Amino acid sequence: MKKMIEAKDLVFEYIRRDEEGNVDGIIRAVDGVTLDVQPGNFVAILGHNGSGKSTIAKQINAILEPTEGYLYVDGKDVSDPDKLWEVRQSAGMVFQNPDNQIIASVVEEDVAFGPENLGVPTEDIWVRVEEALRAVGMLEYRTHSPNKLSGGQKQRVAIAGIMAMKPKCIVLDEPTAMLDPNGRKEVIKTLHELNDKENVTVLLITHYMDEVIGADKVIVMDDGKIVMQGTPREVFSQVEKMKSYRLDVPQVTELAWELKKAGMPMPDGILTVEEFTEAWKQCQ
Amino acid sequence: MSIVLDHVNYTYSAGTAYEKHALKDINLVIPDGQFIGLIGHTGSGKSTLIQHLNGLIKATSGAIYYDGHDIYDDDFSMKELRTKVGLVFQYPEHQLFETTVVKDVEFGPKNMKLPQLEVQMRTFEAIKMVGISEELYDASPFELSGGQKRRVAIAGVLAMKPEVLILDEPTAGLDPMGRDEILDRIAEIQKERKITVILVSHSMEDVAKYVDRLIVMDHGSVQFDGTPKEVFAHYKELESMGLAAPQVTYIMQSLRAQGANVEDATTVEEAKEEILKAWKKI
Ligand SMILES: Nc1ncnc2c1ncn2[C@@H]1O[C@H](COP(=O)(O)OP(=O)(O)OP(=O)(O)O)[C@@H](O)[C@H]1O
Ligand SMILES: Nc1ncnc2c1ncn2[C@@H]1O[C@H](COP(=O)(O)OP(=O)(O)OP(=O)(O)O)[C@@H](O)[C@H]1O
Ligand SMILES: [Mg+2]
Ligand SMILES: [Mg+2]
Repeated sequence: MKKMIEAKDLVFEYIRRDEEGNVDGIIRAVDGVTLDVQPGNFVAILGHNGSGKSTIAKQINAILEPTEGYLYVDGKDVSDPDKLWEVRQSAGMVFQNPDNQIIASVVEEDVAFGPENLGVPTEDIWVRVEEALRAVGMLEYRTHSPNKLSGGQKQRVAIAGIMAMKPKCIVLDEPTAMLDPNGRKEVIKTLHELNDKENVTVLLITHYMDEVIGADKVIVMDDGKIVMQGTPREVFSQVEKMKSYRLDVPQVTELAWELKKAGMPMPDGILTVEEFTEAWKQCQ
Repeated sequence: MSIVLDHVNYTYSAGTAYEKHALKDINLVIPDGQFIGLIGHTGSGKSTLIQHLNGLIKATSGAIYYDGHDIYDDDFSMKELRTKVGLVFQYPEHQLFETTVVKDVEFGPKNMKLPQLEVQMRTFEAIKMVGISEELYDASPFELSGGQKRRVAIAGVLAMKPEVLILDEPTAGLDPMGRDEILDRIAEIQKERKITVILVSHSMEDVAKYVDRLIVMDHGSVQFDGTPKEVFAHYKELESMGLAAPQVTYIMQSLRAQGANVEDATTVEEAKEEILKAWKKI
């Protein structure tokens, strides 16, 4: 089967220049990443600030070209300038700051922009726009100006914009950072629905540990390298190791771990309130 | 420095098709030295409300008093208010504009016409506090990762040593350890300098852990105002407003449904104590 994402020894270096334009330093933001993502996988990427998550995402979207190594998206080499549009068509990207993503002056036009560019017939575009805006709960704002929305509302519009393009793979860079608890749940639920029903491959970058418990695989980055990977349970069973990478575990996992340290026979890697309650019953 | 909001209303784009009554009759007293959390669904009016407190947005009707002075009086200095009430914006990009990290953080204290030495001391103290490493001092703020930008924006406001520190979702985009470190530091500063801190957040876990008082906005109005415990006891109503309680609150709820003799909890610490207490009794 063709892999959705295939990276081998991937490197990216930023060149930092001083005010006169002289090279001031080189930052190896991605440092030898090898990664395979199968079509239909839901993969979460965790990592401290500056660990290289956004840089990888931008490489997948062919915004940054690999310095070394190679990266194929849906079988297409991101370094090949002729494949640029095909790569972007396969992998849609929701950026960390929605302001960078808003193009049109009306919400529905903003969402329509992507599918229009892909040459989707006009009738279909409006169906898609409506579906996408409904999925993120922003249908009532369709005629508003995106610049006059609250932070969380802008982020939802940005997500709808990518959904309307129906890419095979969606890369989301901290899509829920500005959302309220309900909005976060809705977005994660929507992503799982797209993943389950339409087999869309999802790459989710986040700092919220509880958002990744439903992922097929969790990848942990540290200083440009992948340092852990596995199922959410495998990764979150290692509380101390996660903390050593400046990360955390969901509150329920942490509580069970604290109780275990205090002598209660709680198992490692508890991920939900239900599992916690079951384990607690066993202790009685 | 107390702040009083008296029947404050705010309407965006009044008289147009996009008219939005974003704040509806807000009455609040914010006394000196409180650590306040402000939560609410997206679009509930949190950012609009806090921008009133340093005069960036002027109320459509109603009055605001800073330390007893009506801030809309002609002889009230808005410029001074802005140095006393420091605001970290929701998007750090809206705050960063200098060519290097250090210059960016310096900007505020320099603008306050402080002596050069004081400016430098404050700048480096603030940069250290937010955990920006030395090799980034001369980097352009625009060539930083999302979380690093956030830290620089926070440092810029800390360096002004405001009497009232308002942070609009300061931890959005920070890694978990960075989030704890920065909130711990802010809590320390709040106690040391006895300043007022208003923390706008979508993280129920964070507000539960740090604040003394929690204000809940819903569609432009204040719906709850109390201690985190009091507020989170209304978790069902909070859910209907797009919010939630911290995960541990649901754990305690679930254990109680199984007959456990445990009290409500809003932090991991509290939950741990409660569960252990009940467990040791068997
Ligand atoms: N445009 C740029 N120029 C120079 N260096 C950069 C640039 N963008 C990012 N960097 C550096 O590259 C490293 C990786 O940044 P990246 O944005 O990929 O991190 P991240 O894991 O997404 O972090 P965050 O969680 O804070 O968003 C950081 O050290 C950052 O300072
Ligand atoms: N410049 C503007 N013009 C018109 N309406 C606006 C403007 N800015 C915000 N609004 C509207 O006012 C309401 C309150 O917005 P505000 O930004 O205060 O919300 P918030 O509680 O901070 O939300 P979030 O958690 O998403 O940041 C929202 O419905 C928003 O759409
Ligand atoms: Mg990033
Ligand atoms: Mg806001």
